[in-house]
Amino acid sequence: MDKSHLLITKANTYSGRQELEDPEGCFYDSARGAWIVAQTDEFLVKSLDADRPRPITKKHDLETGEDLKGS
Amino acid sequence: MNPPRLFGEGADFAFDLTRDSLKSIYFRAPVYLRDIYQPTLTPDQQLQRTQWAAFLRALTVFDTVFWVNHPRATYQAEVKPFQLFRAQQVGFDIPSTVITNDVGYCSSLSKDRGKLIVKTLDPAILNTGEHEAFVYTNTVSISELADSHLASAPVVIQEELFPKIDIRVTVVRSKVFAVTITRNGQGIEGDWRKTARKEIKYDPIDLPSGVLERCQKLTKALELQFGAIDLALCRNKYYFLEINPTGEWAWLVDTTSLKIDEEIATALIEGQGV
Repeated sequence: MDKSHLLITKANTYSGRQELEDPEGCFYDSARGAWIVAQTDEFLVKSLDADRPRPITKKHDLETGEDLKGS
Repeated sequence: MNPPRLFGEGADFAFDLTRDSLKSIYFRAPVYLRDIYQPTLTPDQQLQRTQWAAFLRALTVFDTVFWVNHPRATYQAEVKPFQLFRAQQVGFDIPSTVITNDVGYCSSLSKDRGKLIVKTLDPAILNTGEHEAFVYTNTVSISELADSHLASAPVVIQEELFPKIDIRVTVVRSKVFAVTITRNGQGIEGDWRKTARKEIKYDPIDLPSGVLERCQKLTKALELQFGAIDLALCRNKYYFLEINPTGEWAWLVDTTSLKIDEEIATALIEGQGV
């Protein structure tokens, strides 16, 4: 039986992609190009709310190593 | 000749941009999306992803715009052997490296522990049929490597740097942000991304001036305005491992309060490199 390539045997499998959900209580303002906290109309990235979503990747493709940093 | 023009409208906005009015473009995606193989994608989705990606690259007609980073520079800088070559040229130490599909070329790279680093030449996300899989950097023993199959695809094999402390350096124009990546006050063996997130600590540091300058020189040599550089501090020597022109940085802002986001925003607002 042919062997699998070493990198395939070492690959880290995972069950599925983490779906990115819209931040709760926010809307995306295309004109301002950013997520806005609906209640305060402030930029989400500037919000001091401790419960705000942690910064996450904006890249479309999922690289599990990259995307799990800090999350 | 008709000059390039980018125009469009949404529900509550409209834009009409030319070479004179478009100042900066933030292009932080890899040059090629890597998931169009997904069996669940409809033909329409595949078409959308490929053609919109090409549309973004078409924006290179705005040749006087300030790019972070320019697709051409990103494409070249993503080539691992090329970045290693440039890193060495600017004065970095790099691990001994072989790119090969023949296990016979590897044993000479092994040092004290009889182990080597084996990684992909390009990020690999695999469809295994039932699952997806990502290939991290692997630490492999000489004996395991000798008994493995490499012939069907080349790999990058490097000497193991042990013990080491990983350092993530983020360069924005000439501004350099560096953090150590540790667990329980110690360096992390192998690929630190495999470590449980809650165990990892990120601490801002000041790099020695020579190392800082090499990071700046490398980013400039690769024609990048932004670079995420991985270094390894091993036995008091700083080794260059790789640079990612589209590397993540948001998690560093959140965990260390480094103002990388403000630096990127300032660069785009000013619309020029340094």
